[in-house]
Amino acid sequence: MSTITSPVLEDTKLRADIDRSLRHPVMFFFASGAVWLAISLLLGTMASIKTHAPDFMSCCSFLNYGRTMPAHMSALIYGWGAQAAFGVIIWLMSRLSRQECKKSGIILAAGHWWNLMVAIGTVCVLSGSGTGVVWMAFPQAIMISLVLTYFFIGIWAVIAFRVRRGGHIYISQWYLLAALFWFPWVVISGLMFGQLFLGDGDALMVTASTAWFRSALMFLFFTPVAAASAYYIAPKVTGRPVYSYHLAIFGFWALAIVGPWTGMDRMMGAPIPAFMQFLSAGAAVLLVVPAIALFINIIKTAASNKDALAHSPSLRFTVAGAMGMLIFTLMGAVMSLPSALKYTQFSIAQYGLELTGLLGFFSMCMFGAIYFIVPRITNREWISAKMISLHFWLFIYGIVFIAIFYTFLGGFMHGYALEQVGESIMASSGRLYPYAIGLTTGFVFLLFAIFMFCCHLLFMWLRLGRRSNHPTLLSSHSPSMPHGPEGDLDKLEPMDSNQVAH
Amino acid sequence: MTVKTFFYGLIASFGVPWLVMLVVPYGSMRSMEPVRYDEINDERTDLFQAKRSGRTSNGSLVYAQEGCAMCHSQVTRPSYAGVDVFREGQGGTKSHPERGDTRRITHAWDFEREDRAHIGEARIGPDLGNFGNRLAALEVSENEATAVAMGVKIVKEDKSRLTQKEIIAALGDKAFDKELYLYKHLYNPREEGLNDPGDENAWSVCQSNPQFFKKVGNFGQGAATAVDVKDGQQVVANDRCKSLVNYLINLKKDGAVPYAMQYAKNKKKAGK
Repeated sequence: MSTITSPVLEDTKLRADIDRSLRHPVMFFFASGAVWLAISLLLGTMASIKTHAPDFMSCCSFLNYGRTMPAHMSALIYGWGAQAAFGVIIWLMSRLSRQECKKSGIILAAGHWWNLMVAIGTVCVLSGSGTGVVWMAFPQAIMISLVLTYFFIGIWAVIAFRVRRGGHIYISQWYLLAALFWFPWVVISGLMFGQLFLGDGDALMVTASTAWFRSALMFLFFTPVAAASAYYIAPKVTGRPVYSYHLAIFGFWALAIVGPWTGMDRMMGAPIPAFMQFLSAGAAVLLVVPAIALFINIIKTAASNKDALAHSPSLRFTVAGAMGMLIFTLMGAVMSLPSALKYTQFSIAQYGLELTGLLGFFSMCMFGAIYFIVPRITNREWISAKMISLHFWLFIYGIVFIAIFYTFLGGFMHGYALEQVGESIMASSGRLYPYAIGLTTGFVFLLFAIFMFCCHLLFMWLRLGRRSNHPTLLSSHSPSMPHGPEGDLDKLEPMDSNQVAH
Repeated sequence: MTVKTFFYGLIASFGVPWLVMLVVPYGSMRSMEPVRYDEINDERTDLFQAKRSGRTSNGSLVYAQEGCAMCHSQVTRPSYAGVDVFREGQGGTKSHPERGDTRRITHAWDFEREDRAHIGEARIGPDLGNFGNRLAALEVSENEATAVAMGVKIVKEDKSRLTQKEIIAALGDKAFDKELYLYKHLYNPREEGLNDPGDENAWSVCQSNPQFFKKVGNFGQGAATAVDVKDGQQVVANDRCKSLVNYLINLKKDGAVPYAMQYAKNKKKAGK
């Protein structure tokens, strides 16, 4: 107790206050996001089954592939992806700006409204009233409502940044700020050109704008949020500074400059201006640059404290996410080469790549952040290291299987069959069969992993976590505390009774 | 880096591609001039128009809402992007009985008056850009096969062949019904004997679509387009199904293009 000086105490109290102020909205975003992830994976599994057993539950038209597939992606993006990102954005921005959130009630209400909209949208898609555009399948009114709701959530992170304490702006804050800025611009553009001007514009550019929208949302929203999380978690858990700050800034600007040019390669060969198709294909290759910058920085930072890497679930997920980013962009680069694109453009590879990015990279980083944030905002530790470990390995197995077997092998095999003039299109479907079963297998692993994660998170939400000073580590023989001084929080209890009252 | 320079950087790095990749092409393609045939080379002076009839707009919406584009594309890419144009039936046919080689890549005017171009996500099923043409070809071959089976002479005494109209008139209700064929396909794509047009292999992972059908009482002679009849009830297509079928029958992207837009070595006159 004698070693705790006054500034340290104040700092600890400030962090505890920030955590407490954001407990309800952040926990709500994470918990409901996790449930949406489970729903999305269930729908994805159903869609996958339908590609190798089309008569499975064929009496239920709402489970048809054409409906479950866009519903699965929409639930994944707006149900899980956006909500996990919102939770991380508002918590991380408040922590790094050292400002409590005064309007958590508004964020919480907006979060409920967001969930209601996603639920109605998903029901609409499943009942055949969606738009049929994969990443924008919700009806127009739902999409507009989601954009408006976003402003009620995101604005508080911007305000927290605006009234930040301390002079230094961390790399994570730059990434978050950019994501907050890009998200509305990207979604409103996609909405305007892809839906609102429908019937009044050019049919091809409507489709092209939705292709651009998908890519922009991935690289200009999900990627910066995941990168911000990784750049926060890695130094925080290891207790070491980011390996190279210049490299981090370089990676950020590389992403900002290259990211908005991608997406139109999905329209290769379609009658839109050819320069757009080839520019996007080139940009997809260049995306490897920011991925390498992120990968080197996170790996080098994590490697500076090998104990933390071995024991901390947050760091393990984050490092896996950084690897996921590199693999995702490398696969994207190979698949976007014009010589390869003829095989991959209409093969299953594109869907597999989206799964690799959203699950193998973004979700991994979000899991890392959630394992770090939730004990702090609930003041409880994760119940079981075994459940975390199972979540990690089952998820890794599932996504690596999908990335290598389904996306890469299956994608090129399917594409190769499609490119054989003398071969019937049904024969290419035949070649797809083992890979379709492979995708279902991958989804089953992911479902088990997410079941573990969901249960664990819901227990934490119900405040059933361990009441302990020691974080839940993947090994019980930790010589040090990889989560930093946060465990000292309980020492404040006698001084401020409010801190234990929540 | 200050916050101000950061935002200047963001606006520039995002704004330029936003304009170049989205706004400007959107505006320019929205106001595309129609293409005119060339009097000297094409022997006609009208404008190229994608021909459609019936409830294609409603059908296009149903096509989108039911997620048909998840498995079916509607584009024949140039040879730098794939071999689509060489796949028989996809971009046209090599030996059309009247027009000869009709194969060509898809161009921007093919999507005229459509709200959304269903370029497609994947080719789990066949490309449908020229499905209407393949279906028409299937109709011809099926009718001729039925005529032969029924002993109808296709070749007249003066050695000219019967026209399709004459064959259909001779076959009566045994003639191939395109709409009924599609209703059956949508009801159960794996029904025995239901061949895919342009494809000899009947195996398909296409989904059954019970949502497109309703049960009504089986009175009198029953509906000609009923896909199933049992227990005093018949299964008939609903309104959404009819508009989708109408859209599918009209999927044709092989119209003769003006001479100047032909990329083939052996260019030919568009004709009348």
